[in-house]
Amino acid sequence: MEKIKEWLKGFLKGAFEDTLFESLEKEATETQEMLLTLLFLNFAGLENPFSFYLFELLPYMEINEHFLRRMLFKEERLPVLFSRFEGWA
Amino acid sequence: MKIYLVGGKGGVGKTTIAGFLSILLSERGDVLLLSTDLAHSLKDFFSIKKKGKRIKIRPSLWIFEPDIEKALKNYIGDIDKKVRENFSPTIYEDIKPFLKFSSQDPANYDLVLFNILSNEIIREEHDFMVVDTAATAQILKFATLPDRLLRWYDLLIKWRKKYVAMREMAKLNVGEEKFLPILLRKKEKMEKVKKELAQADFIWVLEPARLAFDETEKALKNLKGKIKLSALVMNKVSGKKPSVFDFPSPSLIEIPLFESEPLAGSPEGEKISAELKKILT
Ligand SMILES: Nc1ncnc2c1ncn2[C@@H]1O[C@H](COP(=O)(O)OP(=O)(O)OP(=O)(O)O)[C@@H](O)[C@H]1O
Ligand SMILES: [Mg+2]
Repeated sequence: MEKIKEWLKGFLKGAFEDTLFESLEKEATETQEMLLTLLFLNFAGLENPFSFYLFELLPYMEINEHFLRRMLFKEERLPVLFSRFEGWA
Repeated sequence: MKIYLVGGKGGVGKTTIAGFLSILLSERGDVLLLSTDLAHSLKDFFSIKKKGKRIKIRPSLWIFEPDIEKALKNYIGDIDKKVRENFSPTIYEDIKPFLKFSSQDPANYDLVLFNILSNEIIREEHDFMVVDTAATAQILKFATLPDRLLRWYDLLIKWRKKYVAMREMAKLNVGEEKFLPILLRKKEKMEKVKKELAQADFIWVLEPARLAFDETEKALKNLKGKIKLSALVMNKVSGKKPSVFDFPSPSLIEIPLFESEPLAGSPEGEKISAELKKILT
């Protein structure tokens, strides 16, 4: 019986910690993604001098490939915007 | 470093005033005369043929006419290189076009110039810096950017600290934190730039015409509270001048309209220098 109790306690604690970690990880990722979005504001047509200065920070960020793709290319607005500028790529 | 920003409408005599002011200051210390106008004309003022961006005119006077397009390309080029080194080829390929676009966007010229200006302030190699500026909008940018950037840095630092804390709690296995130290260093630098620019003297050059007065009034209203106007230079004064003049100016000097161009070393320069001495304390 004691053993089961121990096990149950361990199990519950583990489960709780897992969800805690998960939500922390999620929030951490979101914070990071907010930063990244900010960096690319310029390209969404918003004049933002800070994006320009923050470019310098770009090499030091952890970038998630999927997020980047989603942000830059999934919504077709950005490429359309770009096509208005000659020789952008 | 003491900074003088010289501004005014096109053709009023900004370069001429900035030039003579620099010559005057070079008797008191080491001077850098920086042009933030895309169409540089400092070399014409000094009648120099020599090529180069940074030229020593005399023992304590340097002129600096940065190649802005190239400076922008280099700035983005450095970032491009680091991105390529730090990320996977797929991520790099995604980001590349954005960087390329940015490296050619004229909207970034003033931002690059502000970077150049900031770097000179941080390096502090000269006792004085005189800036021959292009337009009012540019000065407004230079005057307001430090505060606005600092606010962004603070926000980013807050977010990043939160992120780092959460990352630790979540026991995410990541390497050493590089981002935060860079942000903090940037903030520290910008604080110095802000402090120095807040103490800069702003000199507004105008011609004695009613229209120019209206223009000046508007410009000074926009700059009010952001930059310290220390002198108005009424240039090219000839015969009659408009009577209405009620700017709250700490000092106003008048310079006559000469028959020939007042270039460095010309006899007209003596008169201009004598007037400019009045605004130097
Ligand atoms: N007091 C003066 N009398 C006669 N000519 C002058 C006087 N001041 C300036 N000039 C001449 O007027 C012209 C414009 O002056 P300057 O280049 O200094 O103006 P600027 O405001 O820098 O112009 P820009 O907006 O093109 O940079 C030059 O040819 C200069 O030599
Ligand atoms: Mg000029």
